[in-house]
Amino acid sequence: MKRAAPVLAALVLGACARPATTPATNAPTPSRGPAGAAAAQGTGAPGDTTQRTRARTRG
Amino acid sequence: MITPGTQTRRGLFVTHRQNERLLFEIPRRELGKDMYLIGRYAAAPAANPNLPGGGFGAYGGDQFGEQSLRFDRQGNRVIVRSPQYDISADTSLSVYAAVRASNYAPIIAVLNVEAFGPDSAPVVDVTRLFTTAVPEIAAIRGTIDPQRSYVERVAAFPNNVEIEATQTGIPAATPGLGGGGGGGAAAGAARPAQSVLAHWSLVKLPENPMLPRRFDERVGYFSDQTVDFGSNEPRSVRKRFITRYRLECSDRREGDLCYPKQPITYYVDPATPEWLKRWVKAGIEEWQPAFEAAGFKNGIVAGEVPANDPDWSPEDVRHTMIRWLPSTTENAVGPNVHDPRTGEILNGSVRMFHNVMNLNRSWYFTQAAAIDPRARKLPMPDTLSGRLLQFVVAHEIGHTLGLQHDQIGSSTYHPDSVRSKTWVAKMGHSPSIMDYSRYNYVAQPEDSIPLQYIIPRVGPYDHFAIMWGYKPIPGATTTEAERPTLNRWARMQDTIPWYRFSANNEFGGFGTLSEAVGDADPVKSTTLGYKNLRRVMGYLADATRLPLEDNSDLRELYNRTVNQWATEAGHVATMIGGGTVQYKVGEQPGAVYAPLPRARQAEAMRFLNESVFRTPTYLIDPAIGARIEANGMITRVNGAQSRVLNAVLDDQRLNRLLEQEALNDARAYSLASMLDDLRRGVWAEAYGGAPNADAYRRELQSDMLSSIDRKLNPPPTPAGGQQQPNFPGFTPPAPLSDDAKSHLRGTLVTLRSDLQRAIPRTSDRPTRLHFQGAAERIARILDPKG
Ligand SMILES: [Zn+2]
Repeated sequence: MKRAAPVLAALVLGACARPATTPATNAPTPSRGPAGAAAAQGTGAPGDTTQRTRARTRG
Repeated sequence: MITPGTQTRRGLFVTHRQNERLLFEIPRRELGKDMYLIGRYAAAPAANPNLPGGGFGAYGGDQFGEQSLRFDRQGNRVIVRSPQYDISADTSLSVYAAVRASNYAPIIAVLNVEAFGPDSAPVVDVTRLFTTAVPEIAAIRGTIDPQRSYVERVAAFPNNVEIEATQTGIPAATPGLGGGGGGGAAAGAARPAQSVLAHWSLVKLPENPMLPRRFDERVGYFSDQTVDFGSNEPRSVRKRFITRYRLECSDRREGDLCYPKQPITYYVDPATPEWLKRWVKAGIEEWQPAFEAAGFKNGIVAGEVPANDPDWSPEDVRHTMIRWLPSTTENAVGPNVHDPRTGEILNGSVRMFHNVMNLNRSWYFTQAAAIDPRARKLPMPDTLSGRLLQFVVAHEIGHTLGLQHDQIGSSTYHPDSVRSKTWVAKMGHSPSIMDYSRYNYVAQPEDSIPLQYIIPRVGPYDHFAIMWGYKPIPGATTTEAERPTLNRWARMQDTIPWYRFSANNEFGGFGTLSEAVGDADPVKSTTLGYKNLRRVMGYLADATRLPLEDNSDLRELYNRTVNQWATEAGHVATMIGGGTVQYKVGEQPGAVYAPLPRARQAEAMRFLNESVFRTPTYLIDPAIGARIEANGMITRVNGAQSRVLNAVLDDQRLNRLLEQEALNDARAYSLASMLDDLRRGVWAEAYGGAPNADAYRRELQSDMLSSIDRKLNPPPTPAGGQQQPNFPGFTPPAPLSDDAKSHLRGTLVTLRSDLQRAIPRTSDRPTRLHFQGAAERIARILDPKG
């Protein structure tokens, strides 16, 4: 399963969006919705972006 | 086999629909080829916006899967595999055999050949790939009921096949979340079935792969990578290449520019509110000058969705669309799909959540109402709201073109520059629309900045970055051969600071934070920002007063204003233990990481003590409080102040201060000096003649004790370990060092004796009680078991 990095490609990360939609964790947002994959575009805490870029994996 | 009544379409595959069945006739030349399957919802039940977590959900166009695929024939069967590209080697080398043997592609499905077409093309029944729970393909992760799942439609084109099916099933429980898709069902309760209309684009990856352009950390592109075992170096080599569209010159020229063979085409979602469509289109065209910098005329264009073409689908991977989503989420995203072998972007997918307009409204009011009268009365005029939307669209398009956040951008501009009419007209108030720079809150009313320059635009960095990533390099036929030219271009950063890139400065984010403008000098820009916030406070009540509406707009924008105040303070806080970064290669001399001088760090601490930790009375408006709440003012103001205090006391910052001192000795702002300054600032009353701390100060002072208490006496981790699941490759930051803890203890010891000395001269009763309580609390923090 290959994933683009939509988390990094959002207008706001973390604090600015409503708390309910922004779990402030370093983990990717857990899946949700019918298959859930799209939920990876949830926002994360600022500051974890480098790790995520480097952590991009495939497989 | 192929009976009358079968609907046949010819393209990459010949597709046959026979009643409920879907058959692929795979031409022999397409066997063994690299393909890609992208799954998106054509229609789905979005999350209930009223439930927690109901913002991001499953909307039409949301992607649920991405999968590399290969169809191989083996006797009377077709094996569907998912090849991987994580490790590689040139096929002519002997090590390729080892790479191949270690890269055995997982099998997604094995299909029996039902018949052979002309040229012995195998015909296979693929219905179940799209109507049952094939985990790599299914749109619903969980169980799927084949009785309620069926193929709806198929269309074949020369390089792709588009499939649509309704899938019905019960999603697997996702722990910790109320769940989208109309969910919210509690764990254990019977979960209702869901149906989605799923769309898959099956596309052949280019047989003539694009020349990958090598990634360089100095320029902000997203990247993909492979580990090459075929290099001449005596080690494995990680090769990273940027993601970008393929853009090639045609023979048609105009001056120095060429028209592309195929322009990058973005479509405006026909479902976009009518009044906003022209602004979305403007967001696309705003990028044209950046492609001119790369040598292309009309490198990017807005396309028209054909009105009467039943085969045209927005989910088709060939179509890049700016989708409009009926969501309360205040955000927008811009992912892309790219060829995993080369980084060639096959599809961009801008997703605009409807309520991003509310975020724009809040930002614009708090950041620009001081200089733009249009923002001083809600609702703001449509032309303004549309223009703000254009900014978001252009930002997201930047992501789909391959660009990361250029967070450092705004810190390469001085606050004096962003107050200059001529500067902002030419350079913008931030060099990049990919920065989180937002609106120009530094400019003052007397600067008379024309209103169109308050909003970020595609700027000089963006032009530079698109040039760097897209400009053809004539004569370079390999990725390696491009490197000298790319390096030469990147070295323009040596003399042009706003071409430099960093998404996340490891120096505590200095220069790379959100919502910053002119943060080459954060003390100055925040000072100016605060002058504007005083003005904004004066506009709040009138701006939000609507004769027949309640006070929720007032509440929202008041809280936003206070948040903006804390955000601007946060930029100053990053100076403490902060430093600058400029990425360099071997031939570039000098430091990559350079700590800020002691004087600047101390200046930041002084600013925080005077302008942030001292009660910001101009933010406290009792008349507003009386309109919106029974109580909450202390919590509001304290929340903003303690956000900044906790940022100053951040573990990594304290560790960094110790390290800067160890490396730079007398030239560094030592941790001990910082803590002394902080103690004297936050507890200033205890050092004055007649101590009198107001309620906000008492609360903030207590917060400082709480913060240190948490660091010295962290709560025990619950049994079983509530460990955060970390992202693969994520290294958690080092914990607060013991040395820093000793410094914090020392701060408390000093503070306690200072308080004990201050108590006898404190006649203000609440302050005295507070000092006494604080002294007792310090004793418990220092000796929790005693
Ligand atoms: Zn973004």
